[in-house]
Amino acid sequence: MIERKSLLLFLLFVALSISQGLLEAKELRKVSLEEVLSIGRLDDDTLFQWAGVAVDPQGNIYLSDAMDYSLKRFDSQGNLIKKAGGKGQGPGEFMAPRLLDCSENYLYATDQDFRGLKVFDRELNFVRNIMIKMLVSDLRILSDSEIAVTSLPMLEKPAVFIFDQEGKLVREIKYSDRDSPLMMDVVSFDFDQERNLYLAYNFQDRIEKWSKTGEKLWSINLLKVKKVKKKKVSSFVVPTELVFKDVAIDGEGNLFVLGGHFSQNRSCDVYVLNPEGKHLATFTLPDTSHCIYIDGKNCLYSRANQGITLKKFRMDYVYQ
Amino acid sequence: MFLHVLKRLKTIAILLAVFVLLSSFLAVPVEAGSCETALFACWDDFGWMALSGAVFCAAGYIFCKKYIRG
Repeated sequence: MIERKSLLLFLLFVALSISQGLLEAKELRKVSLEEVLSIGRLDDDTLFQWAGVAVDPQGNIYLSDAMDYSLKRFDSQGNLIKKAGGKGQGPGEFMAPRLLDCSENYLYATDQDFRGLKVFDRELNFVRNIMIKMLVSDLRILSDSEIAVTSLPMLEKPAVFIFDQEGKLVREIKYSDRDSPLMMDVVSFDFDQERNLYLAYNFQDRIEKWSKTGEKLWSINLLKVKKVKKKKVSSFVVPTELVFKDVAIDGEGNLFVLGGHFSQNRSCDVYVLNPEGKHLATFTLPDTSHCIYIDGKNCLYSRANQGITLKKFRMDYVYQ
Repeated sequence: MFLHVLKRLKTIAILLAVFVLLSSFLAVPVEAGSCETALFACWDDFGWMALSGAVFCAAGYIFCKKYIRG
């Protein structure tokens, strides 16, 4: 009797091990998009030129609209609920609204020429400014007390800076020590749930993963781009072609990278990598976009009609 | 005396012509309305004397590259 029970337990253990192994071997092979929402049309004035997007856990969508200097809040069905902001340099006003991200309580916005962040509540009431003495080139809100930003690496060494809610620098992850040519170290970044950092260089064919303690885990050249075109402007040489435009991480830890001018479909191709940097799949957005955003339900948001339209897609994963 | 002034003026005119010619060669060879043109104009306005102005221009350039020049 005991032998029989032991045999059953052994078989159960073997079956579980095999099924676990099968699950681990499951690898994403294809991503297909299904459009589930579209906000803004060419013949209406809902959006003029949206720049930043953020989505809260309830599915409300927040957009910054560069052409009318505003923030706009839409419900999950795409109905405009509220508009805030306006042109100016006063509290809650914008000269060039850009990036957005949200925490559980607040919405954080950047203004291109403003050295800091503008904080709003979920109802788009202005709360306060956070002064951080640098122009923000990318932004991720990890929590209300961990605000991660990059600045253009011209005044500072290339790094991701993490500030608290008062604008005090908590820590920084330096991703380069060398003095690169102008703008070559500009990155888009995102963090996974374990706080590992992913970087996609805008003007270099380089994607990197860094640990939360600041160690480089891997670095890859995905598109095999050897040289980015440069042009002399005034007395300086600047890169003129973007390799990667934006990054986002889904709920499963896959990295999504929006390609730029070197992609087969310029500003439309999205490369999907696993957390080890292995290229799993590529899919193509129906229209060119400057950014990608993935919400908590693995829906992807991108631009259409040159910023007049926001598209929301449900992503279906095909595994091998 | 008159001839001397005339000679000076001629020299200045030649120098000016050379300067104009050189300036046109040094001009940024970019198409109208491009991000590079905007960056050139911005740097021209702010000048590289103020580094913060240069950063401000660079931020606009990157936005233009990402957003406008799909």
